[in-house]
This record gives sequence, C-alpha cells and structure tokens, in this order.
Amino acid sequence: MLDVACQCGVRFKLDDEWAGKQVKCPACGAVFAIGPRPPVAAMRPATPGRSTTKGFSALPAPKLAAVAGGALLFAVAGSLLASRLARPPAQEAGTSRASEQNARAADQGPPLDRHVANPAATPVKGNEGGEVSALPTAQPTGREEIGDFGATASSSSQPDPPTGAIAAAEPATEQAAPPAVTNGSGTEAGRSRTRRGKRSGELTGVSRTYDDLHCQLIQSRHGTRVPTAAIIIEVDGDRLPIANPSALAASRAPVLFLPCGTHAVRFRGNESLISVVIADHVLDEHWAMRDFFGVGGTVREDELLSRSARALDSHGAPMLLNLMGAALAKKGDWAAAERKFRRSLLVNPCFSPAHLNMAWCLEHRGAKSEATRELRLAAMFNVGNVFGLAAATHELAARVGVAIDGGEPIVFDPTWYLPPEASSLGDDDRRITALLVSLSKYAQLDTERAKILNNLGVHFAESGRAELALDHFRSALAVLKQTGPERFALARQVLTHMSDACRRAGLPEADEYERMQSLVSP
Amino acid sequence: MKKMDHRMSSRGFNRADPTRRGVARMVLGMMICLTWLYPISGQSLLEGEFGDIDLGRQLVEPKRLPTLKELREAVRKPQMASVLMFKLYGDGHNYYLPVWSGDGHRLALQRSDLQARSSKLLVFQTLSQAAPTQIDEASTAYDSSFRWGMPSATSFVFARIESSDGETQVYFSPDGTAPLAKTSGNGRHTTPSLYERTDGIWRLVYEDDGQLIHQAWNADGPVEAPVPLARGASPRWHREGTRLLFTRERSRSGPAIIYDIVVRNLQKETDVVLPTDPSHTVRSPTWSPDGDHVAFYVRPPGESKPWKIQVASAQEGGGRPLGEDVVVNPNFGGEGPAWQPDGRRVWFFSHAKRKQAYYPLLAADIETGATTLVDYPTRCTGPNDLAVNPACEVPEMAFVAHDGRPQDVFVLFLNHY
Repeated sequence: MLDVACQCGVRFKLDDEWAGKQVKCPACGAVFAIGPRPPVAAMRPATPGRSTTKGFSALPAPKLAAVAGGALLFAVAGSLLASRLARPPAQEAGTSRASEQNARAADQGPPLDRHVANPAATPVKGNEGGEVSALPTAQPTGREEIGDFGATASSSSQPDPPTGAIAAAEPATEQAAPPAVTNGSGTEAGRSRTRRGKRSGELTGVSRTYDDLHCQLIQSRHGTRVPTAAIIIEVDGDRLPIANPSALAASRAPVLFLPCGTHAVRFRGNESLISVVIADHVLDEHWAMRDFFGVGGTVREDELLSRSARALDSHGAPMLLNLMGAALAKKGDWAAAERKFRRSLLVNPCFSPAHLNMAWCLEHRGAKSEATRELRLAAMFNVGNVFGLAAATHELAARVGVAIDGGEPIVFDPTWYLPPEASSLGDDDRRITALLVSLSKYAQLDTERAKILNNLGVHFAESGRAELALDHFRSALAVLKQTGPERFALARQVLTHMSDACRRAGLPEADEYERMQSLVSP
Repeated sequence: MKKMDHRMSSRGFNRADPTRRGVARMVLGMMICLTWLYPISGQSLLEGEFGDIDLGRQLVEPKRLPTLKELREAVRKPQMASVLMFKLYGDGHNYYLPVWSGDGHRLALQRSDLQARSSKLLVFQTLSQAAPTQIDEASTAYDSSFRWGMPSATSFVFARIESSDGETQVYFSPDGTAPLAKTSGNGRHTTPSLYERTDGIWRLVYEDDGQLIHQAWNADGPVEAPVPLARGASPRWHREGTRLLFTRERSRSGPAIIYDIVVRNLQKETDVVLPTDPSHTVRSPTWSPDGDHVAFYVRPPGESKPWKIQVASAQEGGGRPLGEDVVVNPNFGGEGPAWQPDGRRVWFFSHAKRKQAYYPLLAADIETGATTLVDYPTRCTGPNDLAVNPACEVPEMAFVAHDGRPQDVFVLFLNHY
C-alpha cells in the first residue's frame, strides 16, 4: 500500500498500482501525482517501526529552489534526515567528519513536490542499492511509529495525558484509518489506533511535549552555554571563527549545540579545557520534534500556536520559533517567516538551523551579503555537523554564489536580529525604553511590572513601529508567565494590543495573536 | 457703583445672548468630558496604556508613575533632570553602601543595627522584592565589605567578624546560597574581590592585615594556595580578570600609611604605578566600565582638606583632579567614585554645592573636567554612598539619605545622561 498525503492534510492509502499516476484527494478534490513506488530498501530505510511519514522526510534534500514556498522547509528537513540516515552507528559517539561527508553526499536530490506521495522513491545518494546496514538501528521498535508518543512524552517528565482526550485529535489520520477496526483493543489495528489516540490526546493541548519548557530542556542537554567572559570558542581543538563570542551572551540562551560525545571546550586561551559530555544526538530530538509537528508534511500549525500561547509567546529555546518560521516560509510568507527566524536567533544565536533558514529568507529578498553572513554563522555553529546541515549550507552558498569557508572571523552583532525599526531609534525612544524597562524592575507585583512593559509596547505601537512594540508586549507577557491566575485576563489584554498593532501595520501575525487570546485561559 | 452696574449689565447681556450661552455650555460640556476621561488621577493616557500603576514603593516625587506623555516630555528636555525618585527600603535601621551587581539587576546593602550593635549585609536578589534578604540570617556575626563577583552576576564575597573568636574571614557564595568561609586562621581578612573564570576556577584577592593575598579554587577544591601579592588594600579585578587594581603601601609612619595606585598585569607580571602627587593621600580606586581608566579619591595633606576625584589612564596614569569637596564616606575605604556606564563621567555629591543638608548631584566629565549640577527632590537630606547602575542607559542611582531619623535607601531616575 502507498501512504498518500494531500496538501490539505488528509492522508489515505492506495494500492501500489496507483504509483506514478494522478489521483484526486477525496477531501479537497485537489488532483496530484503519486510518486513511483520506491525500491523496497529505500522504503524501509532505517529502523523497524519507522513510519511512512518518516520515510517521506527520509528523502534526500530537495533542490531548494524548486518549490518556492516549501523550499526552505524541505531543505532543512531533507538535509537533516538524510544526514541522520547516512550516519553509521559507529560514528554516533561524536565523530562527525565522516557523517558530514555522508550528509553532504546525501543531500543531493530532486525537487520535492508536496503532492508526491512517497518521496522515498529516490534512493539516498551514497546509499544506492539499499545499504540498510549503514543506517542507525538503535531506535527502539515503534518509537517513531505514528501515534506512539509514549517515549517522547516520558522524556519530558510529564505524565501521559488521559486517553479519554483522544477523540478530537488526529483528524487527518483518523479519516484514513481502516474502516474495519471496530474494537479499540485486541487487534493490531486497534492497538495502532490506540497509539494514535494517545498522541492525539497530547495534541489537544494538555501535553507538555515539545512545549517551550521541554525545548529548553533539550537545549540544555545538548549544548554548553557560552559565558559572558568568553573570548574564544574552541571545541576539540578547533576554534570557531567568531571575533567576539561574549556578544552571544547578551541573548537569552546562548547555548552552543554539540554532537553526541565528550568534547573539550575552551572559552579563553589561557584557561583550562572544560569537558562537556553530550549523552545523545540533538538531531534525533530535532527529528522527533519535526515529526510531532508534522514539519515536512502537513504542518500542525495549531499545535505550534498552542505551545506558543502556553509560553505566552515568550520563548526560552529557539526550536518552536524556527519551526513556526519554516511553516510560514512553506506558505510563501517570507517576511513573517524572517521575523520568526530573527526571534529564534534572538533567543539563541548559536542555533544553526535558524541561521540557515534566515539565510534562505535573506537570499529570497536579495540581501546577498546578509545571507552570506547567515550562511557562515550556520556553518560555524553547526559544530561537527551536529544538525546535519553542512550539505544544505554549502548548497545554498553555491546558489548565492559565495564561499563560506575561511575568511575573517565574524564580528557578531546581536542587533542583527532585532526588529529593523530598532536600528533607527532616536535618543528619546532609547531613553523611554531604558526608563520603563528599569522602572519595571522595581514593581513588587508582576502584574504591575507587566503593565509598565505593556505601556512601552504602546509607545512604539502608537508611533507605528509594530515590531518593536511586539517585542515589548512580549516582555510584558514574559512577566505575566510567572504570575497567578490573574495573568490570563491581563495577558489577553496585551495580546489584543499586539493584534491591534499588527493590524495597523498590516502584519499577518494579527490573526496569530487574535487566536492566541482564546488559547490563553486557565 | 459703576462696577456693579457693569456686572449687572454683563449678566443681563449673557442671559440674553444665545451665542455666549452656547459657548458657556460648550465649555461646561468639555469640562464634564475631561472629568469623565480623567476621573481620579488626571492621567492622560494613550490607547492601550495602563494608568495608576503601583510600584509598591514609597514615591518621593512625583507622587505617581509618569505616563507615556509625561515621559516623552521629560526625555526631550536638554538638561539632565529628575524623572522619579522613590524610597527603595527603610525599616528604622541605618543603611549604607548600596552596591550594584554587574548586570544591574541586584543590589546589596549594609545595615547597621544600632540595638544589636552589629552590621548585616542584605541583598535584593531581584529588585521587585519588597524587602532585601539578609545574608545568613541566623548568624550573629558582623558582616561588611560586600563585593559582587565578576563577571558573574550572582556570586559575591564579603568579610565577616565572628562574634565567637573575633577573627575576620572572607565568605563566598556562588549564587546567593548560604555563604562559605574561604579563608581561615588568625588575622583580619577583609576587602575581598572575586573573579570567576570560564573554566570554573574562582580567583579571590583580599587583604590580610595589610597584605594582599591571592588564592584560587574550583568545584573540586583549592587550585592555588594563598600567595601574597603586595602590601596594600582595596583590590579590584579588571573586567577581563587579567589585571588587578589596588593601593600599594609606599610608606608608613605610625598608623598613617601612604599608598600608591597600582595596576598589576597578572599575565605579564608587571606593575604600573599611576603617578600622583606624592604628598597627597589616595584611596578607593575603581575601574572605569571599559577597564581603560581608573578613578580614585585624592586629598592634599591635612585632615580637613577636601577630597577630589582623580581619573587616570590605566596604562599611562596622568589625569587631573575633578570635582570639588567631594563627599567621601570615611568608614568604607573599599568604595570608590561612581562611573556612569559609558565611562564619560564620574558622579558624586559635593559639600561645596550643598544647601544646608541637601546635596545636589554632580557629574564631572573626565575629558574636559566640566561639572554638571543636577537637582533632585529635596526631601532627603545628608545623601551619601552614591552607586550608579552600571547597566542602564539612563541614570539610575541608588544612595542613602535621611527622610526622618534613620538612613534609608533611595533610587533616583534622571531623564538622560
């Protein structure tokens, strides 16, 4: 059977004979082509239990320019998984050179049509002939199967949600479920359905899986914080080409991601090496997260939004913002996507995937020098190809027509990611900002502090600088996160100010903040 | 009589004139609208702006938090002026020496408990706390010489005189948790300065009966045993941890000690003695925020001579005395002049400009030497121990002053530097 996914989100199964033919989606009526049936080895590229959906993403990276809207999303997605799949088990303990080469080789592939049912049709380069033995096999069976999120949920130290919350979930997959299933337990199909339901329950909003706190946990487990006093960043004897690493520390979570294994890190030339042990691959987590949110297929934007709402739009890890940006880019909203990537990098400027995505946005609007800078940053922070982005980075560099290897060390400037309006701030604006931010610190009640920061947002919104206003409204929301039940009413007021500011400025985020208002509730 | 006639006729005319009556109604209507718009506080707010915000602090002046419109007006003024002043804390005891953490989010204070005849250190770990937290509440010891660690924003060191044996030891806390003694044995271990390296090694310099001592440790234990550096006082780490600023003993005559201001490069193991008038007394050197300059108090010979501030290059020395009759707290030799964050000026109170017990603020430009006088609400008297927030783009200053008998802690915001 072929597992087919339409752009509208509906999935259904077809006999193999439909391979290579055009079909009509029963839900939305869209006509699209089914890809050819892949060779057996390519269809089952990795671990037992890997879902077909995974197989979609397991394709080699597409030519990014081919699909305008989804190019970026698929680029990073394809590149990530391809490199992951290409990594031999023996290399999973931190050595990365070979995996980088594998990934680079693997990231050559045809453009990916979003309506192609099984993108695994083209074998990964370097793995032609189905060299399954070269693929990692360490995943527990069923971990990545659709519907089974037990392992993931437990990793977040949160109890599983009640299974009673199944019903409203999983609209697409439930529609495609075999109609023969009548008993929720006792048959394989039934078990499968139960697993689906479990995940569905988590998706109703009660789960903390991959919420901002969980992402912060993942971030802290897979990297080391760049200290304020850093003068260099040296990992395993290699010095990163950045002239002023201390500038990174101005951000909220300057965590440098490292590959699995033990690393010798140094932040000052005359100081001792620090041993940093990373127990597992961030790439695995990254992939699980992507699967969870349907990135690479039908993005579960509601789930991303609900988690953002739960974080009151104030993130301590860059992952969710990066995924939200990717979803926007997929829809062709490059400007909004760029705003999300910038925010992601304000949270953690060492997050390589957001740099690469940012480079795509900049390339798309013709900002070549900035795109080059972002490509260099993407390559620099992809230490040991930790995110498997080496190939995609070089591919985009080739497309932009720049060399990203070598050159002068980058002088990092955190203001690159601030709203563009920040660069033209006058003295009066800077003074009002400093006054209100500093005064807010003294408010004994968080609600009063949030009001002061909200007022700063109002100052910028009133003068038509929506992005800056949003930044300060977010600061207000960040404070409200820590308050008691009274936060909800105030947060909704701030969110109203945010959507109003966006509407006045013509930003599409207005809808996002309007929807968030209904999600912010006890 | 004529006037009366005029009023009478005027009233009669108003009653008869519909135009004037209309105007009067309009004015009345506008007044009602204004009353409706600004019912209690009279605040003029922008759309979406919250009014009547309560900091939970005792505001000195103005009596409520300024609105956006008022702030916009304030920051446009070319002269430096007070925007808001409030009492941060006061509980009947006398407070001294507010010290900002490097990130400007924390403030430490010293409290003199007159009844218990002891000194305690208190910390605002966040400035939203209603009251500061006393370090080690159970201890009956006498605490002083508080100093935040560098560049860490949460670590700190201080000196403690144990009430049991009278010894003075340096205590250390990496993150505000219960402090641990880092020195031992006889002697007076005081005026500590702490630096945290990126590899987890802590470096401490302190004064031990007139001798500056350096020691280092990490999570596993001691890394470097205590080593004497020089005879001196008031050590301060450079922001990069590579240089040390202190006063080095030049000569001693009875209890009187003459010091030099010295910058020691710990990598090159060289000393730079900043030239000063050999007859002058110097004390309390502090690094400029960028670490390129040093400011310290200087006074000509003679007990009653006024203090000035001298600013010198950390490499070559030089510079000239600034200010006039600077207010210097004689009890705390470790605390030096207050730099503004961009390093352009040093701030102080001056006896020369005082009006009775009110001392205006003064800022001296280190390039030109020109001083600027800035007034603030005159309710507080006898201000001292000025500390400028090192991480705020507008002047945010903490100092102690009297508003009644006890000496409380106040915070003052100005509109700009």
